[in-house]
Amino acid sequence: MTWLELLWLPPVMIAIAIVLGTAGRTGFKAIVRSIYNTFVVLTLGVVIVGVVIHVVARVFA
Amino acid sequence: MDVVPAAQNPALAVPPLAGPAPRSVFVAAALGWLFPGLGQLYVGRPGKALTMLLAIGGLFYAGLALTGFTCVNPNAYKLEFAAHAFLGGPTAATYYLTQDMQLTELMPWFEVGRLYAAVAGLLNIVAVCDAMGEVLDHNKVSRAREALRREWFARQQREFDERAAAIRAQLDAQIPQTDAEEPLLADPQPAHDDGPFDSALDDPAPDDSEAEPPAPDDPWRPSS
Repeated sequence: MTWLELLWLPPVMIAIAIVLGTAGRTGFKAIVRSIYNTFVVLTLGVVIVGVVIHVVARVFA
Repeated sequence: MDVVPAAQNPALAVPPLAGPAPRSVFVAAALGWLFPGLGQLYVGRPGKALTMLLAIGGLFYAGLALTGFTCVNPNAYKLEFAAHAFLGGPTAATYYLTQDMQLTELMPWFEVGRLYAAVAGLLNIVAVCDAMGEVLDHNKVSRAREALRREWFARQQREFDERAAAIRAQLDAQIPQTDAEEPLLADPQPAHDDGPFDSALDDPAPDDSEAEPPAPDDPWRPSS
């Protein structure tokens, strides 16, 4: 698997961050801050899960 | 004379609702299901509606494009179609327009496109819930404003009634109480006869403007 094959992740993460960040918020600044926070949390979650899967695969391979 | 209470006076009645009317949660949900962002537009949030439309619609269109517009197919992809169904309008339109299409070549990002379209449908659930929440917030604010408005008008009516009562009490105190059967004014015709002087007294005073001016050669005219 190459890094190029992971290019499908950012668009869907951005879309999820936009929708989840916009929902339930009012005001431009609050929405932008919420979208940013959601995107950061999503990215961290994906990276952590990816690393864990990678390590587990290495151990049990 | 009785003063009409302010609550019964049509000129002082509470006018009809001037602000935004309450919205229906079900209409917002139906509109949001029909098209992403339409529920937010119904509540009066155009910026949010545009954001939802771009995010969800863009992801759905990207999914369609990556699959050659063949991923919305309830026969081939039953489980994914359940996710697509949350995007009512676009899914129905896509299914109607692309049901006869067949893949002619292998799409390298086909699986990613299927994922995008399914995620877009699931994200629309969040958008619909957000539209319903916006309606609830809108109605809460609308009800609070209406209650404040009615309370303000009721206070105005109370103050009007109190002022009218105070003015009436003041007038009653100033005007002496008289018997209702006794006439307020004296009879203009005298009850007794004063003899020949009566008619002279009753005659109106001669009008000076109608008197003839003195002649210029009048010897008795005072010299200026």
